[in-house]
Amino acid sequence: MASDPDETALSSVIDLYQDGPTAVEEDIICDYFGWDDDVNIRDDLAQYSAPGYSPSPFPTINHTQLDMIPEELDNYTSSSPRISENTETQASHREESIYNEPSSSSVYDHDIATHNEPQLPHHINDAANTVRNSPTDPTADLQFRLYKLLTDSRTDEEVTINWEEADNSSRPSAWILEKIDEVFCAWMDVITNKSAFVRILELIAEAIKLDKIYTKRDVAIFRSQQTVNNLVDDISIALGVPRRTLHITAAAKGLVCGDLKILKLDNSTINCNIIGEGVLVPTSSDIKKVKIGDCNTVLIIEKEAIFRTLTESGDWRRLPGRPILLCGKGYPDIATREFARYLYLNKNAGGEYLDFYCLVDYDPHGLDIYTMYKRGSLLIGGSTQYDQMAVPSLRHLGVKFSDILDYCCSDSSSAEGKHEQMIPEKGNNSVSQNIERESVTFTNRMMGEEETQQEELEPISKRPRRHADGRYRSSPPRGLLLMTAHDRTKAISMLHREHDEISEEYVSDLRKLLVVGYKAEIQVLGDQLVRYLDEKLRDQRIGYAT
Amino acid sequence: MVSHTIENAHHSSIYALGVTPQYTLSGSGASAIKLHSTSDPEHPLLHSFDNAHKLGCHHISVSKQGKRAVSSGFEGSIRIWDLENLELNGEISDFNKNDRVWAISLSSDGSHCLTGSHNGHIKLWHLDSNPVTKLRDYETKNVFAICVDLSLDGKLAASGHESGGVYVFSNETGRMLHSLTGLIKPVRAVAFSPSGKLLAVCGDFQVIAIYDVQSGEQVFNLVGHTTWVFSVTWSEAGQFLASSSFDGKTKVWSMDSRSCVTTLGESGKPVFKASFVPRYGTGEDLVTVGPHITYYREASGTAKG
Repeated sequence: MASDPDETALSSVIDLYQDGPTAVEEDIICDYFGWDDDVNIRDDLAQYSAPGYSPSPFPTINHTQLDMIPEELDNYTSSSPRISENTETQASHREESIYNEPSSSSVYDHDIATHNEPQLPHHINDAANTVRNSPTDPTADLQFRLYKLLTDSRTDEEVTINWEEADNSSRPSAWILEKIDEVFCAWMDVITNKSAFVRILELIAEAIKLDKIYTKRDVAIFRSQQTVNNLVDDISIALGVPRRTLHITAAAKGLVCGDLKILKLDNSTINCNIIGEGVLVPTSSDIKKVKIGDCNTVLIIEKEAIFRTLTESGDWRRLPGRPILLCGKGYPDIATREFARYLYLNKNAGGEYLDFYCLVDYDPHGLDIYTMYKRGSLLIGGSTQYDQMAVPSLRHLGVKFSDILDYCCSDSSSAEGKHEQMIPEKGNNSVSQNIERESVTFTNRMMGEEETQQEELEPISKRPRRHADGRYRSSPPRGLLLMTAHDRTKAISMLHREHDEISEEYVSDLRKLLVVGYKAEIQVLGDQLVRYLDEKLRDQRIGYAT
Repeated sequence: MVSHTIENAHHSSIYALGVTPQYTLSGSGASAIKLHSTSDPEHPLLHSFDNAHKLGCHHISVSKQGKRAVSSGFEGSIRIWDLENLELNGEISDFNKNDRVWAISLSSDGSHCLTGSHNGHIKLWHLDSNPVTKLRDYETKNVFAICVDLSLDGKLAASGHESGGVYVFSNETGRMLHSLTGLIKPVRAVAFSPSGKLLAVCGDFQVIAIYDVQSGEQVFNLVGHTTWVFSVTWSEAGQFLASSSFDGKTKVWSMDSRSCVTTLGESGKPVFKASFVPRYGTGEDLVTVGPHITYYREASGTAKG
């Protein structure tokens, strides 16, 4: 019974080799992992009893359980000098059995063993039985484990691997290879349903051996990307090494734009101070130095669309603090978080540390993303490696529910009041107006047009924000979305988490999301975005000063 | 007309309110349910059910005599409270993950409880049996049921849904009597009139729609709120309606004149629930919760003789 799942699992793993995107010569792998196409553990075990069998296909095995097999077999099939290692009584029993029962090796084949029941040497059965009663006896334990290994209940075996210390980041990659081999050996008999795990370990081993770097997407041959991400993270935490030591990285995802230059290890320089799309955030291991220019703010943006709106218009240059824009496109990858951390630890041209603000959606995921930047990971007290990505000074700029009321209630009294204030103070140096004006000028210049058109173009945000027919004197905020079942589940699971001072900032927002039932994207601000950022950043900076 | 305000009753916004002649029960994002005195003019804190709901409580419903209360929390649990002995009486807890309960309503005698869940199932529970038994399970269109209500005699049940759907069921036959149409935005409260003849429905469509339960016809609308209406409740005799809205306004409506009699509240913060105080012979007193617990005396103004 047990051989079937094992066999299918193993052959499926081998199939993966043949179909996998990074096919490697089959012989090499079989050689390396000691497997053959028709590997069957039962056959292997039968082989063990053959004289002259070379015990270890795994040169680096040091896992006790598998070590045991050849050793014990040696004891039975030949008058090995290692007998002396065992206790006297055990040894004499064994000698007896070997000399009295030449066919005793067949015991190890379960089927034959049951068939030949009467011829079984009694002490083996006795040993097995006594072990059941008193598993504490170490020598008997060995026998029992061996016995168990050869019966169908092999999957019950608890496999424990000694991971050594928690932080192994300084260890050489050879050590990881060794550990991977160890895992392989340990999982041999419980390999069912572990094919994804095994495959990823193989890829890691391959990557280390060939000194290549794979992205997580290369590995994405299983059910979903999430499966792979989780497994890779599990492995990196279990081994206590950062993920890039495993030669698996994520493809570059984050974008950055702002007054800074990134000097890479190959001495090339990336200038991020360009209008347009922003540049991809390089992996932290590629960065030699980052030179921050004349700016003192970093604005982390959840949404790529918002990031692009700001970069393409050049509006970011006119915002207070001349922010560096950083976008992780949803949940940030490690490279983006590490880059944010890097900025956090470094000073700008004026010798000051940067202020960090975060602009995310008003929904559970947005709040989660904010947490991820601030804490480095989603979990409290996660592995220490995540501390290396945290930006503790990060502040939640928005979008907050009150902002939506202020900026999106088209005709509610508060917005009305603001609006009436804005229009008369034309010459009164309202900065947000200036920004609008400048941006218009700027885009015109970009398009190669003369500035004469400037007067005709009224900034959109200055137009009256009112329903076309003006029917409603006041109304609830517009542009909101209903919370989906998924959002609700997410919010509740976030409430269930252990809370610290970071999550305390938003738990009441989560409840409000659930009770009120509406969420909002950053896009809800629409053409108010620049005005919003200008006012918010200014408020925050005043808040800092006082 | 504000007779008393309990500030900082909870450390977060207060979402749930249940008023009996003796206690004012309030639930918030905090884990405890607090019981303030209803009758004492100072409204002191009398008791607190600590750790009632780990993630906070969003609905409380009390029986008319004030002997029993039920509360539902963000984690999806429903707890039954004995208000005579001030202790936990039981729990309704056989829901699976997709069936998480949101809205609750207790019958006037406290023996039955109606629940509405995220997947639109409306269930009627018999609370006096041990364990609690499920009597009815009405299936709707798999849309989140934001609010439910039982009529005073317990024969009718109503549910309001996120899609704007309103359904009326007969608990005797187990059939749907009406599917009330015409609303397309989330329905936040449904309430049977004390006689059981009318059903008040409010929500994000900013009006309070009054339906005739017998025919299913919309009788009239109460217009005046300018934003989402969170709650609607009837006075003891069914003469007045009180509604609370997102912009902090609480309005009292006269059913005789079909118009707004009083508008209360200047805070601008959402008022999640308003409830009349069940007390005879004293005018229509009102309690609202939102940022604080606020008591109003004779909220209906001059109308009461």
